[in-house]
Amino acid sequence: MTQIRASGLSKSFGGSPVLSGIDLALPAGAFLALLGPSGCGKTTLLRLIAGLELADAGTLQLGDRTVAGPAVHVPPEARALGMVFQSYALWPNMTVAGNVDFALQSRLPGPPRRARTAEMLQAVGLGHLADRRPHELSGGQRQRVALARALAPSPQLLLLDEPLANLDAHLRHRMLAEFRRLHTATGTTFILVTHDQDEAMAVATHIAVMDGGRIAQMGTPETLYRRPATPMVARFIGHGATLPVEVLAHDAGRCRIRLGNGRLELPGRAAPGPGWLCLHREDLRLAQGSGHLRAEVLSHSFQNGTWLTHVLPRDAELDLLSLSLPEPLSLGAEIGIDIVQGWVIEETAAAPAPLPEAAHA
Amino acid sequence: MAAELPIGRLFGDRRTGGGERMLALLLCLYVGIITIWPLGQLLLTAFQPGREGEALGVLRDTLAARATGRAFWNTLTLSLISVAVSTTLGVALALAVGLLRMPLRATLSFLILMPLIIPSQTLALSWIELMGAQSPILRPLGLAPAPGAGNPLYSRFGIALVMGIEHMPLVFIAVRAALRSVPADLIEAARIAAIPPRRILFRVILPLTYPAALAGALLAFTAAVGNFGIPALLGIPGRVPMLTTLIYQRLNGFGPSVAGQVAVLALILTLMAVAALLLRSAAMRRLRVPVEAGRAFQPTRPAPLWAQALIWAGVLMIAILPLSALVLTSFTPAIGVPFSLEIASFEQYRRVLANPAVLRAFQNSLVLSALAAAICTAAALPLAYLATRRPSPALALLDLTADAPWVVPGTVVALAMILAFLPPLPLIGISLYGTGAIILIAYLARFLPLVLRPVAAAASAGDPAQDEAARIAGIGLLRRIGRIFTPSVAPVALAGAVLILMTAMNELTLSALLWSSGRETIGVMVFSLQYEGNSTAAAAVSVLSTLLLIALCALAELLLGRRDAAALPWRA
Ligand SMILES: Nc1ncnc2c1ncn2[C@@H]1O[C@H](COP(=O)(O)OP(=O)(O)OP(=O)(O)O)[C@@H](O)[C@H]1O
Ligand SMILES: [Mg+2]
Repeated sequence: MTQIRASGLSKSFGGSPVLSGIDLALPAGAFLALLGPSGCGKTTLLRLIAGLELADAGTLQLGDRTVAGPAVHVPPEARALGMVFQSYALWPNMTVAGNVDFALQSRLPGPPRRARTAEMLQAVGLGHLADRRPHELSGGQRQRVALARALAPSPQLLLLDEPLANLDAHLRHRMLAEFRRLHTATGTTFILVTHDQDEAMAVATHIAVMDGGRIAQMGTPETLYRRPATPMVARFIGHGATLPVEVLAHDAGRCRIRLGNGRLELPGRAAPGPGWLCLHREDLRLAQGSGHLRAEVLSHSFQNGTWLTHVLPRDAELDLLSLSLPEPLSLGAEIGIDIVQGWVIEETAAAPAPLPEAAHA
Repeated sequence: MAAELPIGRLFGDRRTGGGERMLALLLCLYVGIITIWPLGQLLLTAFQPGREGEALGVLRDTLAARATGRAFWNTLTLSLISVAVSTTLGVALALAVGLLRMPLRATLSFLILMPLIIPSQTLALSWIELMGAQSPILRPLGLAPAPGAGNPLYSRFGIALVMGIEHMPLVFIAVRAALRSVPADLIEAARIAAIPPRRILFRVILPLTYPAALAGALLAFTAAVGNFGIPALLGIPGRVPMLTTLIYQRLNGFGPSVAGQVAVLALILTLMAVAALLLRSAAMRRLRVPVEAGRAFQPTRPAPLWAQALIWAGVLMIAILPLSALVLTSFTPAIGVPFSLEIASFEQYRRVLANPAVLRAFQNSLVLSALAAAICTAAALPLAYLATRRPSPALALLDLTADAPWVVPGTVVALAMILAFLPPLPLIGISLYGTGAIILIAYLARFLPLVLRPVAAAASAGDPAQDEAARIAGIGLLRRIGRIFTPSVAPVALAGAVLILMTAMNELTLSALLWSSGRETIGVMVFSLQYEGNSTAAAAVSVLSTLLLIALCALAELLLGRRDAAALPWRA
């Protein structure tokens, strides 16, 4: 089973760098969600892994085989992988069964091919639509055909580029469950590109957050949630917020920090000096007294059984914070907030290093 | 690795597979033989030294000759006058059809396009029959010129008028398309702002059509400069030499010894045509007003009766009367006998159908056109595939050069073919001149863009991921082209093939210079019959070829089915 190892992968288009020095190691059978804002290079990285683009520098190994590197380029068809495109890219002149069958033509002879096609269509629940054409299917059904087609040759690695972007919310959840089921059933390594962090958290064993052509952090969903490496990751994952703080001391994985006039001790790994406090909703409590922060209530809405309340900290440099409360507060009221948990990082872990000038290989 | 060599880069990067390189190389070879080699020969010939070896001697001698100056001047002025005719008629008709609501608009559009669909030699012939002393239409009305007075169209006026009418549809199509793309929102917004209809017309709608009218006019100029059929049928008897007919007459009279001279004339023609096209693309870039795509506006004003009458009178004059004159003439049993119902007969048809040369011409044209359509399409598919899915410098260049023979006038292409293929071929030692092969090669070169352009446009609008998905599945190159790419562009490819078939069946310009005994085409047949003075037989052959063409159009509609037929040229 595949293990992906990328080191120093770089790619630029017409002189402007899109990926710079991507390092990535993924164990076999993992489900990696590649997460990041629009334009950060997710699709480009996926296409590099598929062999549809050429890297300017760096190497890529799938299993123990080097498939891209200086003077090496293994073409996509020889990389034993499958891909689901954002547009699905179904072949419109072929039926549903025809699409799966055609994708197997270079791998299997006639009779076993037909059996495999039927089996795959059953697996994605489309057995009854085998003779339809793609344009006669709904978005979710097309998605399933694309999945069946990509998984039919039993690839060791499946790449999915924003496969859910064109589906409605309800269907998304169904398809996510489907992905998880197929991942478990096939044992194939999955890489799913998305810019929706809820989607990523829902399915992945690993998440890589990309930012400006680099991988800002990679780890398990819990690591990214609890111990973000950069403020960007902290804000991106789990609707997080960051507050500028001063780190006073650091000892055995805990930091003493000053926030405004208050002092607290929280887990973190920042050396003394300026730093960031990374917070989630559940780290904040309504204070009885003045609390660690004073803030003004801006708005609230009733969601999932609690009142999601947005507040603006008094200190103007601070971001908007939100917390879940059992009761609504009156708008404009001034409240105190206690910080009960959090994660402290250094200020130098700020925005990822700017991209270097185009690295021409 | 070979891929690292510069020569390898020319055909793609490391992603480009060996099969793809091989195919690209083959296509380079193909376009090289049918296009680059002949046009290169033409340039070499035009720039060759004079008889005493002085540099560019032929070029200087030819440019200094009085005949050159006269032909250039005629070509320039008559083309300009014809453009004025085309633009006036084309804009007026497009506005009328596009802005007024009236019955039978589709029929009207089709009739307006007629002059473009029927070949120029047939159009010239129809006008000759309409305006001549024996005119079956003007004579009964007492409007025909006196016998012996000569046909008024054998003159500069006649050439400019008929060329103007023939190229009118180019302006019509451009302006009509511009009107179609005016979004309804723009007009509704003006209505809501209480702007009177007349001002909406002049300030909102019309300004959006000016660039299209200019573009259409420049296209009409290019077409007029390169026209051969009309100057040949009207200008040769009228002693009005144009560049295309001068090349034809020189080559016919003196043979290959004047190759240098005529190559220079061809160069002048090319420069005129290319200048107009460059101006056109510059104007399009500068003047184009991007409008949001949206629901197209539909004319709401019903056309007043007088306007409808005027439009139908115009269309009658342009499309129906000349063709009727041609048809009636073809029913006259002998030359010089005025047409009347009592003597009308199928005698001419019987006679031309019994003429083996005529039958041979039909057969030659059909075979050559069908071959040209098939081979061009077969070449355009992989070329468009590689150019859009595996772009490389070599393919970009190839894609560009493939257009050249369509951009330059047909006479120039024909001359280039003579220069390249008159000398015996290397290795086999035989000359293609005097065989059907030289006509076929000329067709292949000239008509390739008619299918390549639409296929390449459809390909670049298509989803490249369909091909990538097949690649990942390990489907080989030829299968990807055959099973994924070709079906995705099949309707436009078929429409392109039909367009080639029609255009090649209609053409005279290329075969007029390239035909030889036994290798006549329909165009050549009509031209020679008329040239011999057998105008009634020429009329009958023209009518037959038009019928054949209409039958082919109907067949294409039938074969393509309702949805795909929308891509056919006459549906534009
Ligand atoms: N073929 C190309 N030519 C030129 N620039 C490209 C090409 N492909 C991608 N880019 C550029 O590279 C950058 C990253 O593109 P990419 O498609 O990888 O982003 P993405 O993270 O997938 O974004 P999205 O979430 O919007 O899909 C973008 O700025 C894009 O404009
Ligand atoms: Mg993307």
